[in-house]
Amino acid sequence: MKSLWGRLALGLSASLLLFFVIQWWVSDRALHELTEEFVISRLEHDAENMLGALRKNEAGETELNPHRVNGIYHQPFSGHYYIIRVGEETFFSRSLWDFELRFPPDSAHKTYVDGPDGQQLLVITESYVKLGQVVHIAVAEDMAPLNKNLAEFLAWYSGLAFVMILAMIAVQGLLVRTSLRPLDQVQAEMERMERGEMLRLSEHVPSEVLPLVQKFNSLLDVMKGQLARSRTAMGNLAHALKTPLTVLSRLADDEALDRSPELKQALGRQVEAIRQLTDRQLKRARLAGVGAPGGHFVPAEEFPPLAHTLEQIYAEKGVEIEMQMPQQKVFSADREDMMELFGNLLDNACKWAQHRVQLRVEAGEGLRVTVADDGPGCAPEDREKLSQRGVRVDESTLGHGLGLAIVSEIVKHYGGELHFGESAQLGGFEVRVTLPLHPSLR
Amino acid sequence: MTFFIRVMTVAAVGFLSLPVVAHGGDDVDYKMARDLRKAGKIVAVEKLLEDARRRRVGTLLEIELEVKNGRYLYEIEILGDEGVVFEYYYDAQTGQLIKEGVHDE
Repeated sequence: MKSLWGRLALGLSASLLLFFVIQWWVSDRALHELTEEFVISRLEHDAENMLGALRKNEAGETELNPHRVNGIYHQPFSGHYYIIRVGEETFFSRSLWDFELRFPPDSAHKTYVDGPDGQQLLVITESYVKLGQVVHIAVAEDMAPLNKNLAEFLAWYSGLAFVMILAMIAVQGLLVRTSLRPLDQVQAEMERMERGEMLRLSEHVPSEVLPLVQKFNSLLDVMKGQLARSRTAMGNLAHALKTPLTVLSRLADDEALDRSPELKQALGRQVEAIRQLTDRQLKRARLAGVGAPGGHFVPAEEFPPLAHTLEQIYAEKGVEIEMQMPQQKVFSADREDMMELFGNLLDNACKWAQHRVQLRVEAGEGLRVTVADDGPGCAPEDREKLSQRGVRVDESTLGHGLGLAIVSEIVKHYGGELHFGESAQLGGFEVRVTLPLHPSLR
Repeated sequence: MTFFIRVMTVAAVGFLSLPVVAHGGDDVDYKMARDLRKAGKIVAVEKLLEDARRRRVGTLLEIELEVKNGRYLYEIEILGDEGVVFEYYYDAQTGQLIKEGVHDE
């Protein structure tokens, strides 16, 4: 069950083995029968030849004309023998020499007996009438050399069959590996999706794999839709909560509550906390469009429109955002998270800047983004407080200090680092974000 | 091989104690061998062949039964695999090897 190849190889070798065993058996039978029939027909011819060689000599005795008998019957133990019985007389071939070959019973036309010198004899017997006498002729031939040749041939054939089975299994393994290659491609594409380099699996795959890929893609669509819907719902909820929250916070400030300042304070804190949460959701919904799950982030594509939007928002002040970034670098990070992170940072910078904001993206060991402005900057002792939720270092400017807290949270989520400092170039505040994301070329 | 006397007995002569000097007669010598063996006077040639085969790998070419000084001798010719014909002489009564070698007449 573990490997397709293993299962196929097992099935193939079993069926091939069965096939070759059956074929071997059939050819073994066929070859033996063919050989035997061939030898029998030759022996029958020889028997008839012997019959023709029988004659009476001048003395009236029955004898065998030596000129009519093949020389092979004269060479001792040659493997070709005859016994002729005419009346009371028996003629043995010289090739038998002193070997006592039994004349087979008359009923047997074809028998196998052991011959001299380890030979296996096929004996056929024929009965005729000639010169007024009954003539029995038995002719024998040694089958051992033929059988040896057959055995050699069949052994050779078995070896060849074995090699062929191995070769077929190897070819099949190659085929299986080749035909499963599209799955490797799908796997590689899934890895690229994980890194955010692809949004969908390519559907240029063999028809057997296509349903799987299509199903996966449609599942991806469903999940994307669900994510977008839940985000929209979150945004809607946050929006809907805004008015009740404003009412609630006004009520918390009500003079009627002055009698119990502790309650008033606690109420204020909780309302503030809820407002921060809803604000965050709203920002998310506003800043990010619909992002792909496990999406990708391309600074060169996302920053210019963002900068443009912010420049328009702060048009009155005349803020200009300068950008430096590598082209075509793709980072596997959620686009929404990145938009929220850098949107906040840029928004802050624009808020504090007099006229200039600098955005610098570097892709080296991870993603490093520096946002600097030419604003008043921040005292070193205040920098630590910056990322705390709801703490405002600046008490006079609009806002509620949530931006940097969100920034800090996202950076933490990605395992990155956040550094606050002073811009050497612009003299104002500088934020440096380093995220351990690995860039790849599109 | 001049000291060997080729024998030939006529088939009709079932009497074997009288060797007759004659030319080689292949059509009768084996009959004598059959009869002598049946009578238990000589050993089966198969035994001698086994021994000769142990000494020389090859093909059996010829067997001759000869009489010398009233003793029966078997001459077995084997064509060795190297293409040389070897001759082995045995005492037909005891089966002992008497002489072996290539034809060196």
